[in-house]
Amino acid sequence: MLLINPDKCTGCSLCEAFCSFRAERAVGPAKSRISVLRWEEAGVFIPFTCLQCERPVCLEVCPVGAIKRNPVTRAIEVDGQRCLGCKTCVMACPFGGVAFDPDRGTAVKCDLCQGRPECAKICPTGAIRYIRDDLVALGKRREAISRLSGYLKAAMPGAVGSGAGESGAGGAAAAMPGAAGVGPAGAGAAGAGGSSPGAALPGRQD
Amino acid sequence: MKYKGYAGKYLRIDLTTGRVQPVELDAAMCREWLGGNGWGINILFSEVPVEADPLSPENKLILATGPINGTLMPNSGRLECIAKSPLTGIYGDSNVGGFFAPEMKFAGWDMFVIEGRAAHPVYIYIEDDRVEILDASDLWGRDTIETERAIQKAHGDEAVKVACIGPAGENLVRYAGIQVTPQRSLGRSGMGAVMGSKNLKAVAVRGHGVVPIAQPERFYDIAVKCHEGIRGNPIYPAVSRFGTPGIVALMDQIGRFPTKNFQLGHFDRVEAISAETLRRNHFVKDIACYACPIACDKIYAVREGEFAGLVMRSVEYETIGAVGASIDNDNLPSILKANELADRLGLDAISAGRCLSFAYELWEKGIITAEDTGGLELEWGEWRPALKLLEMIAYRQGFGDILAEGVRRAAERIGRGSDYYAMHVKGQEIAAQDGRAQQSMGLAHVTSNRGADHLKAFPTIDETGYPDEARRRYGEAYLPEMADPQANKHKGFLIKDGEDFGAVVDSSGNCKSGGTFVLAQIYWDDMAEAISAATGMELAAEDLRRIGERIYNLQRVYNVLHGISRKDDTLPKRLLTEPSPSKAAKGNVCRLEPMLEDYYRLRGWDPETGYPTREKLMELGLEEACRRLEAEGKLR
Repeated sequence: MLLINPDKCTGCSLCEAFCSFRAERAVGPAKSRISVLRWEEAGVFIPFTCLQCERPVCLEVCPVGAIKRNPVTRAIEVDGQRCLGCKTCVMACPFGGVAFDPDRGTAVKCDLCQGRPECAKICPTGAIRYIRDDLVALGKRREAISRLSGYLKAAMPGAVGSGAGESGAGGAAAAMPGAAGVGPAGAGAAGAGGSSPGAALPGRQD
Repeated sequence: MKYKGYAGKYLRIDLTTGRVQPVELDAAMCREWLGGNGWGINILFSEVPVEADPLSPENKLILATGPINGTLMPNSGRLECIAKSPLTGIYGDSNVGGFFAPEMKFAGWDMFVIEGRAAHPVYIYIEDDRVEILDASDLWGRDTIETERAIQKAHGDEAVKVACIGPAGENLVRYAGIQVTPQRSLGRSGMGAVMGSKNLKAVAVRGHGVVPIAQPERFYDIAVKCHEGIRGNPIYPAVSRFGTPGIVALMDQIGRFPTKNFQLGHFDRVEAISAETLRRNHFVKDIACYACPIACDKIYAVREGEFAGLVMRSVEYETIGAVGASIDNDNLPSILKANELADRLGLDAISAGRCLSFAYELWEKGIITAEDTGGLELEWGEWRPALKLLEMIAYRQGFGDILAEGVRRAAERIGRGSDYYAMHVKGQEIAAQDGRAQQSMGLAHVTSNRGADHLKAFPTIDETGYPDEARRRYGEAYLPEMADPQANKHKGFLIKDGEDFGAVVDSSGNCKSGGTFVLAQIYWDDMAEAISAATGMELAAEDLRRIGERIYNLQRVYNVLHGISRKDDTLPKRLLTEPSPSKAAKGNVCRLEPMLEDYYRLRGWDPETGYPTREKLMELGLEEACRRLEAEGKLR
């Protein structure tokens, strides 16, 4: 799944640029399957896209069976050939996960780039990470503990890892087996379990 | 349009008649001049005559993008603004990040060329193909942040990108800037005053289209390569973490941090205004411009004291210098307040800060008194009068009316030997650099076509000595001098190369604070590959060098037609004759002459007059420039 952490999003739009490029061979946020929702005044940015629901309303309401689950990536995909352009799925999705593309005349949505999501690959801060659904909780637990390790270290010098940076995960997280990429230094990288095949770029080191 | 990468058309808007004319982009315009300031100088050169007053309807305000704006390339969000400058009277431009330029491209426009003068205050709203000139009576008088929000609200869309002026632009302050979503500044050269002179409060744009790419796979590869390069660059973490304020302490170390209006090159309380202090006390969040992995901008908050509750952004090295060390001010919250005030009022913080330090020094020297200042006591370190003066400048009240003219004109008005303290080149105030501490920076200031400016050539390689970058870019032969801030050798070459490369970066839509100059990661070959793949024009690095040189020469010719010659290519006396008292720069003046001679030779310009020669201009295919110089008797 795409694990999104808005605290880390700088609002740079690279996810939208790369997403639209994969779909269109051209660049424009209006064609992106992921959108960065912006509250400029507060500096709050939330990248948001299809949540790939386990009980996908879009799939259930599609009258022609044009929406299916990809058995490999488990992404919910729209078959553009079958789609009538009736927009029922657009109306049914409670999250805006499916959009209508007037140029194609069909519904369009995130398909997790066939298992190598561009948004997660390019995200410079790790605000978007692609992680195996069943490992997300473990990764988050590790992050939480690595944040705590800072306090623990303060209380018991030398007891835990090599200390935490100000934004939470730091040396301790990196020192944990299998946790490479968790925390601000691991942007775009694997996340818990090191399972992302899309990891390409090094990230910001806060 | 046969080339991709571009939107393919631009807009001409005449505010006098209200006529709006879409124009198809000409392929030759792209191949020969790329975009951005390449297009800008062409339009000024052929359409804005020498005798045209910069604040008259005849001047043209140009907002231009380039072929990689709004694409996958890192830092591809920069907008270029060009007009004849009311501050210098010569070629003027300014460049800004944010999201405006990509939005223009998504809306289907490469450039807006705005001329004439509206009968009453208006703003221009562009949504894809729809262009409207709308009444701005209600917006006139409001600050830039209020204006941006009011326009977004009026159109019911927070994603509308706005470029607007504040009170300073309305009141024709000669260094008024244009604020661009989200609170970034087209600061330099007085572009905001040109906008104000046209009764134009804002340009707002919203687009739903895409930027087409000629060779998608090839373009993707070069874009990802540039992202990888930036994110693997050794200084990426520091630039990301601190933004430009990160160099405050460094510049202080090398004596290049102008303090008390260039009396000193270091600030004895630098700790109080350093990046570390800024981050520790005020940091809230990293924020980025379009497609930027660096996110050098931050949101800052003041949590206690007089300015508690202030939340703001866009604090730069320059503003910390301009309203901090320059007036001997170590109160960081007051610097943030002044920074925010300048942005709201729509003032170039660099020029405004230099006007403040000029006034403070005149006060110290007894050249001006409370009688001149309307009772303000401009004692070094006192920031309250600085905040007051910023408002007085923007509204042209009292002494502010004199400072609103910039230091050159203000010194003419004040007289009494004040011109010695007016730190400018060709009328543009000098930013927080000192050619005595970094010799190449002195040269950069005098050869910049928009008057004093560190960003035209942007010599970063020898700032604090980056031998690895110097080796990577120029090869072993130029070391060790190339990386030595006090060496004069090779600096003519460094500056010429920087100016030509900078002209291409500013014409393509890329960022000089990103991969190209600050990180010295992206250079000619990468730019050529990116532009070629995006557009389908096959341009090699050599072709881009030639475009850069053509742009720089045409800007120079335009300036020569406006009376500029070698005599103007100089620094304030202080930097040439008063040895720096500070740290690594101690004992040095800026040794301009040998560098300048080297520079003219490399440029192929006449060393006596500083005019581009017939031979050089013909070589660059600038026949019309030749003809016009010849008509003025300025061709050799």
